[in-house]
Amino acid sequence: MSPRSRLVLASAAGMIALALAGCTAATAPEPAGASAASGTRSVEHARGATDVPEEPARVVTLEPLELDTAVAVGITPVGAAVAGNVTSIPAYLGAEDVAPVGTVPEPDLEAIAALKPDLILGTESRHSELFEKLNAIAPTVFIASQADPWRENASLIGEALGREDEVAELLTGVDDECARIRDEYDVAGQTVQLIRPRDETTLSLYGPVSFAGSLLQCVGFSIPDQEWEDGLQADLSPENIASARADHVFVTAADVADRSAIPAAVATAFPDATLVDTSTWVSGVGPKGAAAVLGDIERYLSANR
Amino acid sequence: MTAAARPGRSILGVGAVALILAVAVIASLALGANPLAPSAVIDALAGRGTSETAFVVWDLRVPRTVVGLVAGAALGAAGALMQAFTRNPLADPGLLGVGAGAAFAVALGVSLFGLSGAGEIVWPAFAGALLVTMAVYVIGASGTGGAVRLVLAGVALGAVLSGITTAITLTDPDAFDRMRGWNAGSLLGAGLEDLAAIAPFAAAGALLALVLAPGLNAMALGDDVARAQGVDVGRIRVGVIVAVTLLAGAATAIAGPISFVGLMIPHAVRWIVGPDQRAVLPMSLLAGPILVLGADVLGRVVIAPAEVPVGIVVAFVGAPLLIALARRRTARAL
Amino acid sequence: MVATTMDRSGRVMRPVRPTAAGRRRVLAVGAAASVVLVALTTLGLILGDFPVPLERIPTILAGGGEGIEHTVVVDWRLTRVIAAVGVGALLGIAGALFQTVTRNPLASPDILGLSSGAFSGMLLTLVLVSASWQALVAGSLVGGLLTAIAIQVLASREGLQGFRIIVVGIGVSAMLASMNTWLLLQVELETAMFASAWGAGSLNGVAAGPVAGALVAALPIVVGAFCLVPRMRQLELGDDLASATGARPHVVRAVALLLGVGLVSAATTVAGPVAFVALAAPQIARRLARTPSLPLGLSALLGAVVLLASDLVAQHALPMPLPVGVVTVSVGGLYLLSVIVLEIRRRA
Repeated sequence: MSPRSRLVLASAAGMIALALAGCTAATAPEPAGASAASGTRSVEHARGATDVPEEPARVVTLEPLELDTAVAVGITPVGAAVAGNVTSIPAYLGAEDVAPVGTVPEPDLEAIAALKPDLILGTESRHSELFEKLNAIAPTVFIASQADPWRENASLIGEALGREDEVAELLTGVDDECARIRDEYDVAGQTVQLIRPRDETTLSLYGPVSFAGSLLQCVGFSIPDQEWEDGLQADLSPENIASARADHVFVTAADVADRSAIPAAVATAFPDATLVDTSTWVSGVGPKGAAAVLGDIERYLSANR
Repeated sequence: MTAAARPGRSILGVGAVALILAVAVIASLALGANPLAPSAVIDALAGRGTSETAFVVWDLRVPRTVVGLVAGAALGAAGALMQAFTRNPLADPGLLGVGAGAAFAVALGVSLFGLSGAGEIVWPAFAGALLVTMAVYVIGASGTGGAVRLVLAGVALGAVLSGITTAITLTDPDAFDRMRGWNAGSLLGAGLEDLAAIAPFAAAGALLALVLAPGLNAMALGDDVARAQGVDVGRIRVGVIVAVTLLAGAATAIAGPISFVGLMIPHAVRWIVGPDQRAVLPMSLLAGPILVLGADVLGRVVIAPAEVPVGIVVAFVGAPLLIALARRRTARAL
Repeated sequence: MVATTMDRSGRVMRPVRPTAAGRRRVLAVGAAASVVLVALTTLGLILGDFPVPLERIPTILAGGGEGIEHTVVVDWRLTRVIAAVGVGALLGIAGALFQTVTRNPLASPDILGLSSGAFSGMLLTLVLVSASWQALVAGSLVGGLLTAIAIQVLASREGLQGFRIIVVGIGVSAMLASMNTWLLLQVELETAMFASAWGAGSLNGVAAGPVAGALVAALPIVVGAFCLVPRMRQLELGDDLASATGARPHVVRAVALLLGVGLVSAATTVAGPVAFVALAAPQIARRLARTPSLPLGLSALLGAVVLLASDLVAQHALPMPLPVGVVTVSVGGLYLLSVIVLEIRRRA
């Protein structure tokens, strides 16, 4: 093929591409067939205001906190984004028939569309560029960031679901449960450490602003000071394990029955460390996860009274 | 040019390397994320220390020093073998698919069998490295064609495996989490028992490498020249593959994928002792641990109280060195 | 060691003027590839979780179809297909340029540090600046270009030597790859997995605007590459002969590399650093067309075919969708393997 005919071929291909791209840009996506004008209310969220149905029946959640909160108020979503493609909905939620719609960072738009939802919940810090596409399927509400305080996010989610009062009750319930455990077991002044093993040369300590850390503190424990990153966690070499010393040591693991998963450094320094479930203590952010964590804490305290 | 042609530089060089190695070993025992005083370290070594210092020195620093010595030596020698055999100064043991095979096996182990402890991963990694290199040999070795086809087969099979490994890790968060730690390399992965079990393989590989040295010298000018001198090129090829597999496979199994040592060390060594493989190979055994231990120590202190994994530091330290070497002169073939 | 153009068996190749028969063969292969491309495009429009029957496609493409149907087929699937075709073509051309300039069939953006640089730029932006799509694309562009510049600066003393640039590329690549591993360890697991998927090269969530922008920006570069072909053919004779015939090897190489970098950057803004297409497409083109010279158009076509096919496999072949880069790496490797095995059989 002579250079010139190649040039022609390339230009032709380029023209076609441009033409098609022009076609796609020219046709504006029609707004999704939302529920009728009556029976909607407006919700202010991270991407402005959206009209959501009064009683959402087919909800899709893209963030674990949203899934947890929805299930906690009694709305089982028809679809939820999961942590990974082979994982399913976390067992601690006790929810059934929730279809996976891709992963949390990369939701599967077509799967969501195929479910014909009437409300989609997502996260601005993760799903920002998907907002228009999601809104084309169904009214979409975004929380600002999953790193924000979970109680505030849960309130917004409650509002989007039309269950603000129930969410507020659940949150007060968490606080009440905390207070009850605090009064019953009186651990004031005792220190606690939450360790998450990462790899052979790194251990992560969880701080007072983290999900589980905040629950440990509200129960009355205090977490020793470290150089927290954003108050959330601090990394440590196993050589410095001694500086993680505390009255009570918790170590996260995937399987709480398997003590062999504890890294040698932690097992040597803290032979009495208690194993806790990563899926609730680290990933189970939400009202039901908080209840599970508080339940673990209470079981531990009553066993070690 | 043989080592005998410039004895002064070689002897000085060997002495310097040995000295630096000793310094590296001492640093690996004395320095770390936990700022122990030298007297505390000596006490712990002598058995007099507190339980905390004894833990740090005997359970953490001594094992990682030993692993660093073995892995560094193995990688250095494997790199020298690869570069001599392929007559290409850019060759690296990873080209035969060792790292990709080990990673694939580890990913499978974690996602299918739920392996996670460091000691559990060592044997799948070794097996993966061995199997893949064997496959590369079966696919890529033929009567003629030399090293090019072998390297291509290694690159190709490595690519396939790395694609599948990525697929596995992107679909299984536990596997991803474990692999991102393993990928960074770590001298604390293997305990001393695992090391004791795998070290004989590395030793066999090292011995084989030293035996192959004269044959590799003959092959430096081309396979035909070597055959004319009566060297059995086919046998040498098999020997090199076996040696590289044992050495690089053992190193990857105990320390994870540390990728720069095999590429860098032979360059530095050739600069000191010249292109005679009978000198290059033993020196690579000595010089390899310097890079690995040095990188490990650096990783321990630079962000104390946390650590940077050794594989990451090696690349950061090794790459500028490599680039500097490439700029100094047109890279010599051997 | 003198770098020469080698075919698979290590024979040194001499450049050959295309013969009439050769041209016919190239045209035939091109036509076949185009047919395959059309078939794959159709598949790309009908496959997916959201059911759309084949008969509806022409209506929808012409502008009809109810809201969500139209959105799915045109805004999502068609855009993704065009992105795959465009990115694949750009990568194919870039690979052909790199391989000719460095006289090494293994030269590709990955080795030259561009992919690692783009991924590093993206990761640094993700960790330090923001996770918004625009920031990430900007970060990856800056990262890739800075890396390419750094490699050029470090490698060139008296003009570009094909050999030194590979050494420097490997060195810089390794540094960046290790930094990437470190950054991946610092972020949350989900963010790390997302970043990794991007780093593998992914067409997930491509939007029409960025795709059109990238392709439009790349068009003049593509034209420039085609214009450069005769000069690059002269380079294959070796620098001395080329200078004697009036070509200026250093300038031609520099321009070709620049064009290649531009193409890869445009491709990276759409799909992230997709591996192997730039490496494999020109090689496949050379083999199918049996021409040792530079098959630029064919590389583009085959790059498009490979990437589109890989994306379809990545989306639909397995129970879970994968980033397309994972498939291209595996498929590219398999292709190379089959080539090697076949060649051995032929000789034996």
